[in-house]
Amino acid sequence: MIPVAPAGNVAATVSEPGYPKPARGNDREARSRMGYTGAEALWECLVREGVDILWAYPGGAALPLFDALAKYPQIHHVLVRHEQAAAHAADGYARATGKVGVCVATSGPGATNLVTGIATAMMDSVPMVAVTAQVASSVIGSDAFQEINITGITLPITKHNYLVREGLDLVGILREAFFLARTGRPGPVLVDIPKDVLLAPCEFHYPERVARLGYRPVVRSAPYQIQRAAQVIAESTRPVVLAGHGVHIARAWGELQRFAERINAPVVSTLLGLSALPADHPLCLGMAGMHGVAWANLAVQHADLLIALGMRMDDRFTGSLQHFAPQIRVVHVDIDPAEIGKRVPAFLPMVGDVRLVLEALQAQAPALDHGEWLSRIDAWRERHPLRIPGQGPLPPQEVVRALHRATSGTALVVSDVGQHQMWVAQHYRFARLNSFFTSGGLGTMGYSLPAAIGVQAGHPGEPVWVVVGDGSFQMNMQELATIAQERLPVKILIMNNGFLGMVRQWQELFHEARYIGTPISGPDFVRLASSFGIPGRQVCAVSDLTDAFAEAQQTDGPYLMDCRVDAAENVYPMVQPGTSNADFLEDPREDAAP
Amino acid sequence: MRHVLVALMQDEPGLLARMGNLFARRGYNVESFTAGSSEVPGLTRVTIVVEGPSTALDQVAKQFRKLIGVVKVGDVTADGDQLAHEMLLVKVGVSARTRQEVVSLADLFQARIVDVSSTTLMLEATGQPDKLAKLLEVLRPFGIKEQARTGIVSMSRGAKVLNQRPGAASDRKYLAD
Repeated sequence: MIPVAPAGNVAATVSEPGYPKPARGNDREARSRMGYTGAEALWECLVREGVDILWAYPGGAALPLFDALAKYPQIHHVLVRHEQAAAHAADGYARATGKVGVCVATSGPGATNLVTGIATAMMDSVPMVAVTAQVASSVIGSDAFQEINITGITLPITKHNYLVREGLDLVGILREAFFLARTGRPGPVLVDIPKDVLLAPCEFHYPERVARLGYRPVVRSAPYQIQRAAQVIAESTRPVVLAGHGVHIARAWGELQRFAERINAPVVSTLLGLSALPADHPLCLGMAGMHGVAWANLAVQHADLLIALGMRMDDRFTGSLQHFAPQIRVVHVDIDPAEIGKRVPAFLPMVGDVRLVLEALQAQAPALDHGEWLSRIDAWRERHPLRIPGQGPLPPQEVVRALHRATSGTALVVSDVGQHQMWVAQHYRFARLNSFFTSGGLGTMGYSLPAAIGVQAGHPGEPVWVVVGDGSFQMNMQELATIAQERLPVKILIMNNGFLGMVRQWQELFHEARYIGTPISGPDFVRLASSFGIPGRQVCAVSDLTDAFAEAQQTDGPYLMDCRVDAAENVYPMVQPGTSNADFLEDPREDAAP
Repeated sequence: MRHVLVALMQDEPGLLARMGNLFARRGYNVESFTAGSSEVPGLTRVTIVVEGPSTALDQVAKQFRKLIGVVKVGDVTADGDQLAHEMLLVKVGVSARTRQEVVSLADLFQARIVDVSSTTLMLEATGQPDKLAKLLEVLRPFGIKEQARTGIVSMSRGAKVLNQRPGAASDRKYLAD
């Protein structure tokens, strides 16, 4: 079913940066033979794609697949405790390594449980291949036991998906699935394989190249665009560089730093763009947007030029479009043309891969000095610093700062969604490139614990910290079992305030403090962890933090810290919906200190 | 506003569903939709007429172009060179007294009589949608028992062809003014 380009149409070859050198599978004699079942052919494909780990959950329709896995010891299979976690783990792995993450589930409920994880990956452009088993072809469409139309369900949340109708198509589809997942704007691809296809003999010929008619991501901007951009940059007196997730996806960290230094422009980032430039770099301003730091938002609002790199002008970044940076010219660089001009008009649209565009731009852009502009931003930074409350036994912001001190900012931090996520974004000064992983676009609570399983798998032996609220933690806390089983040294920091904090904050600010549905109880997290064999401790005061972090870091395996933080804390600064990013609310308390 | 999109896509299951999903999600009502083989084996040509906000159409067309398997999308709404034709089948009630009158009307519109019964005539007509609408208007007094229209297929006059540069994306398109 791999479409052959018809005469008259030349399908361009698309470069596939992440494509590994084809590894040899178990087939030592011939490249093309009939000796495999569909299930074996699947694993052969994965081996050739360089997959050595995946997250999976078995089931009836998936049985042949798991049976064949026994012959492939080079693939490490991690049994998660819920399929959603398999998708998040594959997602975390992909973000941390740049490789395609793989998750596997059975038909019906196994497949539907992947949905939230697939949608999370879609919104954040994460390369992933999800393999689902399907009921036998002969009963598809009859509402058979554990049958669900998963290609229909995932149609709007995958970059592409396939139902393999014949064994003949299987290998070509898998090759194409990996190709699509990792090229262009990455995203999740789902392959649904009926049980009979898994069992039947399957011809195996692994195509080295994929040519898909009409699929030709533009990776280089036209030279006239580059020249034009260089000119626009030279004309600007108040430029701001904006780093989005695309900087990580394109692995353009070095190019970003050199470019920003060359034109001497400050760099702000989106939530997912954090850690694209080390936080202590003099040009790094941190995150802008709804809970962005004041000086970053003021810089964007007053800038005359925004060089947006690999981002999609999300509403959490722009705030009200009506008030967004009125005098700005936007140079918008993105590999997906559909993102350019979608929400904010582009003065100069540049379709391309961020790394290649920056490389070309850096060669053409003039060396500049924006000292005056930078000192104006510094003045904003002095006037509107991030504040930490002076009272209360355990301010959550202080917990994040202590984590930063304990890890020197070099940990791989996986955060969940909510207040704690914003505090991490504001107060953890990322010293390491590509070290922050969180669900940005979809805002999936429950993401962090399973995603950390994947992040740790991608970086064995390196410090991985989960920062999670008590609400988010309870959404996927079953994955403690997976962490314990895999002996992953993941450190878990629960910001426990007995509330769904971000929603509580909105109730306080916009719904007259009617706290409906947001107070949340939970188990004794330390005892819960200990029942999985994971040590931990409760932290109730700032004075306990140093000890607790030392203990966590000295522990070989996983560790859990249950931090009883102040429930009344709100995230500031905050831009209220519908207002300008320059009109942020600051912490109203007098005793709050920088 | 009414928009006309013409597209070439690979002939594979699910692609039409993907396309429909894009329009539905953004509140477009698909007025007509035709699909059939193109000059290239394996490629389906579709013509879509949608009703919806113009501001969002550009975005829909971009998302449409992004679908894997879609080779080419052209927005021909404003293209005066486009020929847009559709076909109509209509069953008209007739009596011995009115039959001849309907036959001569059909003649005027260059419609063909494709079926005759003692109480009905079936007419087949092709042409621009407003011509077919006119025909229906004059037939209405006789009693229209049943009608079926295909929706338009569209093609540019002259030497220009849709499939000159398959799938190519141009930066210039996305310039703000």
